[in-house]
Amino acid sequence: MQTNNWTDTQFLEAIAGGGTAREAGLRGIYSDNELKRKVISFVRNRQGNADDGQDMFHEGIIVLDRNIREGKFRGEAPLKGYLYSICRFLWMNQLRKNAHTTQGAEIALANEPDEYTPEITLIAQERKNLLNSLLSQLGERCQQILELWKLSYSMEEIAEKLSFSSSDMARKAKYRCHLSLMELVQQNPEMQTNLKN
Amino acid sequence: MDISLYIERIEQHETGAMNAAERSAFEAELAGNADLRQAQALYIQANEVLEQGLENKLRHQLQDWASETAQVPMTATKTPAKVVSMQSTWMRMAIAASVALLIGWFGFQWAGSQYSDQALYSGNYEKPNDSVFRAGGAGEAHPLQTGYDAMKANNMEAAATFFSSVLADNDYFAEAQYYLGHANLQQQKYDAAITAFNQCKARSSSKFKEKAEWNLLLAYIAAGKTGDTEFKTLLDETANDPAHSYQLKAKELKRDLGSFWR
Repeated sequence: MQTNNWTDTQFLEAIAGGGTAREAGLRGIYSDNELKRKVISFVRNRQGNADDGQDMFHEGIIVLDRNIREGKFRGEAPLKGYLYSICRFLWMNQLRKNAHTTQGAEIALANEPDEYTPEITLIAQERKNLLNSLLSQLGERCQQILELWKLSYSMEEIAEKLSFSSSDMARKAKYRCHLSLMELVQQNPEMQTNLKN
Repeated sequence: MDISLYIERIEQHETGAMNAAERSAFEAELAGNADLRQAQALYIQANEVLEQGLENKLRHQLQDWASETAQVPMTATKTPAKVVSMQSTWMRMAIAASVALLIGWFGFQWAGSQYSDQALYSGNYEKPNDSVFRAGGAGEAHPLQTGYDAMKANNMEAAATFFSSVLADNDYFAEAQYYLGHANLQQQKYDAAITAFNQCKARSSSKFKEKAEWNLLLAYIAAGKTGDTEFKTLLDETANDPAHSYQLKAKELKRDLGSFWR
């Protein structure tokens, strides 16, 4: 699927639509070398190296993907400008974490032109570990079903991809898996503490 | 709390599948139902777990794409400038090495050529000057005049024919063997020249003996017989004889024959 000449709307629709169109859209954005170089250059000019820059570009695409799927970004600003803002924000946040660079990072961020303000959910590493642990307890099959469902695959598509006899069977399996996951969360004391907080 | 009682409605609400009336009713119930609120919180947290899974998967996918991109220059045509530059560098180095090898090879060949038998012969051989030919008595031609005239006329074949007619063991005409040697040398009849110079050398005439010995050495060299015992012995004797007219030349010849370049 050629994405060279895609408009922002096409990228948004592809990513929000899920499935192979989402992958093509993300690949198209990833292939924008000019944007990638811009992000890497930004990071390298602010105490990072090229690897840091590439990591930020990846993390930025991950945030962009989620924001589009969750409807937090609907094309109010140019897509690639928005992604660049996410990457900048992520790197400055990374710098803030380093005690010795805290002051410098804040000054640097304050001096940055405020193009867009991306909504970003930053999850601490401890919580990420907990989420990964719960995911692994869910089982491979349930992970696949719920992942496809989260990516907006229809029940027919899920049935076909995962070899269910019908879309109804896929729907029932999805229901059971979702319920299991919520019960796992409910039974996890750390998640409950988090929930109360 | 029984989650299954609420899960479908929560999902409809969270995914925007409810119409306005249904959403209002749900939100009203949410305000007064603690279990529903807790179930909704669990739903949101479960959603976080699933998002974490998607994030992990996309991160791996991005790393795969990055690896593919990094491998492209090795298999495709990306960053050709650097490859060309390296090829150019290697090409220049190869050309420089080739030129150095050629210079070395030709230098070696040239140096070797300066010490070849032919070069040593040509570098040392001197054709007899016309003025050295003996003149005859008053009003008479010298007995060897015919030979001299032939040599002056550069007719070496006629000169050799004439000088070879003179008895070889005639001390008085020892020089006939000497000039026969030269006539043969110039005809590249090296073995005949060696024989003639040897016969001259064997004569007692000191005037021609040393010259004959020196030209005998040159005849051996021209004939490529520097390995002969007779040649080596004569060369050593000449080089070691301070009284010999050709001692210095013999020393130089000996040094040149022992040169590394030969």
